[in-house]
Amino acid sequence: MVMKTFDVVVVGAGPGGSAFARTAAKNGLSVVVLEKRQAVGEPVRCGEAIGWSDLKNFKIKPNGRLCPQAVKSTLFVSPSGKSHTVKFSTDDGHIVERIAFDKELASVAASAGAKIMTRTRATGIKRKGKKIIVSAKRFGKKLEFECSLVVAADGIESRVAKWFGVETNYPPNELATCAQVELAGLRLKKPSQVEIHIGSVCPKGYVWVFPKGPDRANVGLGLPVSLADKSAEEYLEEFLKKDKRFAESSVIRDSCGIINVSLPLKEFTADNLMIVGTAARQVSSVDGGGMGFAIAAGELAAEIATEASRRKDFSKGVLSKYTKEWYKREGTHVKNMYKARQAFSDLSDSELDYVVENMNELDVNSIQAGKGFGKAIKFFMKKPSLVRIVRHLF
Amino acid sequence: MPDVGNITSKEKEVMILEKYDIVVVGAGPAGTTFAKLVASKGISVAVLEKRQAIGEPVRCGEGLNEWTLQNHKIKERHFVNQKINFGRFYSPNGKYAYMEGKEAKGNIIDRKIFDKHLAILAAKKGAKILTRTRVEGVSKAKTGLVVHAKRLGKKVDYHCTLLIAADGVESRTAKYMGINTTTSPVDITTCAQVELAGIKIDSPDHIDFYFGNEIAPLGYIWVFPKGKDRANVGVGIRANQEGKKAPEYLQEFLKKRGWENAAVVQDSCGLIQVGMPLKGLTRDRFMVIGTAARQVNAVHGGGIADAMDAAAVAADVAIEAFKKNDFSKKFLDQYASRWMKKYGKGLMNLVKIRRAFDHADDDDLNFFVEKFSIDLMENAKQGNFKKVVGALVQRPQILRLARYLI
Repeated sequence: MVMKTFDVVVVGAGPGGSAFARTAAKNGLSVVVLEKRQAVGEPVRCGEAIGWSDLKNFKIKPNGRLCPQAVKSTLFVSPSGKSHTVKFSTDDGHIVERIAFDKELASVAASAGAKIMTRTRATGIKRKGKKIIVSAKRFGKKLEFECSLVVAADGIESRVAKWFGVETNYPPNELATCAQVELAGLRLKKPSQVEIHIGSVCPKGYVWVFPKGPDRANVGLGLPVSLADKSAEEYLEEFLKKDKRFAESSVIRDSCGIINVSLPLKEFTADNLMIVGTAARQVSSVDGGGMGFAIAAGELAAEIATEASRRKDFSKGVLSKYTKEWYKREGTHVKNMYKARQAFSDLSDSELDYVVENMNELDVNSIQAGKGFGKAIKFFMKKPSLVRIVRHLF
Repeated sequence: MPDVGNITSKEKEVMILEKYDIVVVGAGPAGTTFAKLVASKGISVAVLEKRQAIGEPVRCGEGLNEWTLQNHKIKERHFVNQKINFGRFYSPNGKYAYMEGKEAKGNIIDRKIFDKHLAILAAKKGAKILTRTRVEGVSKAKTGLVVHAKRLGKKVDYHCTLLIAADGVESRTAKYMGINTTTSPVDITTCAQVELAGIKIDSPDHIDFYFGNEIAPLGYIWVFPKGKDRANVGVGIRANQEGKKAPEYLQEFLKKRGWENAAVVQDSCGLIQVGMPLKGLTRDRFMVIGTAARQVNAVHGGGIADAMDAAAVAADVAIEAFKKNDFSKKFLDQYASRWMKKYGKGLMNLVKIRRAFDHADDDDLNFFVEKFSIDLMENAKQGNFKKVVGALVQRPQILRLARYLI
């Protein structure tokens, strides 16, 4: 059997894994990224929206291959068809092509010195003194990697974290099932605007329309698993049938998946382990987005890992600085998003109509950014029937 | 607009029936090019793709001529990773020949983005594309054919007047129509490829081919840059040989280049049929196009351009068929004859050349590379084998290969 030695073994070549690998390699650590799929970036299970500033350290420019559409605002559509537009607070919104985009991030990590291996499935770990042996399978052959640190960047319900004794399974009400199609042949009037449709079209979840140009878009939805009397795919089919713009269009991609809508894990580390991105549930529980979080967490974790390497100490005591630092930056944000979701889930169709109609009184951008509910609390207090919503926001 | 209705099948499960003028099976470059052309004439067309996404998985070197894009009036270039200006052929002795000019101008493309783009262009013209829709059979009806498919777990029947098989190697759709599409291993090349990242490529504007019976017996190795730090590196060898397999030859080459530890962002393997094109390209109400019809360049193994070219010929004939309301094999055979005249003969000459090459030893390969010129290549493709042999007569041993050209 072949045994290779690296400082760090990263499992999963998504944005979080690549962000960690790029930063750690740049800092002089030897890093290998193991990806079980045959190609980085497949299959796409994502609405594909990102703020470009999240990528600043990758130094890649938006181009037509990586990101077909820049987006500037959100149109919220209520159950009865009322709508309200909210301009983004930043001007760097993009809808990307993850099949090319993830590969680009991995390539930048490779250029920084990281080794990436596709079709290589991590199968387990064992401890050997202060080191970890990661076993893997590639083309039916067994491989072993000796390292000081394992980074779990393997997505939802991380298997790698489980090997270290971290419970990553979800209670079902903390998960959303998603279905999405990429449609072509459309005639969208305003491709720079994303749409969010709320209400019984997708109970306690939402339908998104993310344009990828004037003639195509990702249209998808996510709803809590425990509520699914119908499947996400059935809800999506109904939505597409009702909306004349989509009823007869072409489908150039079908995807489904599950996303996290719970709070992040309390601790992202164990001895010789760091958990990054969706594996650590670092996901917006309001919109389900995770790319920006994963990249930022990957970069932060890599800086702490570099420090650990200097001190030759990869114990939880040293690594957990990553958890503390992350919560210092994002703790309030994720808690507020979680509250916002609870509040949103408590609204009936007619109440959602009222909210969208009067949305100008709500500071939607600061709610999405998790900055606080000052305006929102005043808004709900004003209408007696909505006072009950306020309790979710404290 | 297709008619949509519900009928109940014998098994009493709800079955959906949709009607189109044309159903195309497979949403690769052949299928979507065909669909775009017929849709633009107002013919209703559905393209059924079994995979969940167009363009996945990639099983291709991703090289494509610039002139093919121009011929097919594709204006956008966002799917291009790297422009290519020339090529180099390396012989076993390490010497190389240049390939320059129009033939060498090309692009290394991102197939996932490119295939998707062709599908988007077809959809724009009104074609209906459906992913995750697997064809499981075809049966005859009074006024056409019925394609039995499964979409997202539901049974869907598509009624069509004309059916197109564009479903790649060893087409199942053609088999449903009674055409034998299996090939012998002597005419199959197996390929292994990696997309490397984080490597250094000094001048990424050219592609390299390496020949030699040690490094890639009955085949070659390619290096197709996708930028100054990325490249597709692959090997293709004939399937009927004992000994090492394609991935092992690839590993050896990577080691030799110092790339054995390079990052791999995509792994792929696949088959290419490098034998003669399929003979029966048509049946009543049926045509086969692209790789499904083995319309492949047998020398370099590329098939995107040939697929798109054949699709255009077939689309012309389909449009005429709808005008004349004649979908007989006899009428559709115009596709076969026009394609044969315009492209087929050239591709068949390439198969002969490939077969001759199969018998070349390393000294022959050294000699070929030394004598290589664009003229020689063009003459070979045109079937002017006398000229080719004449140019190579300095090495009399070459004559033993000439018999494979007849």
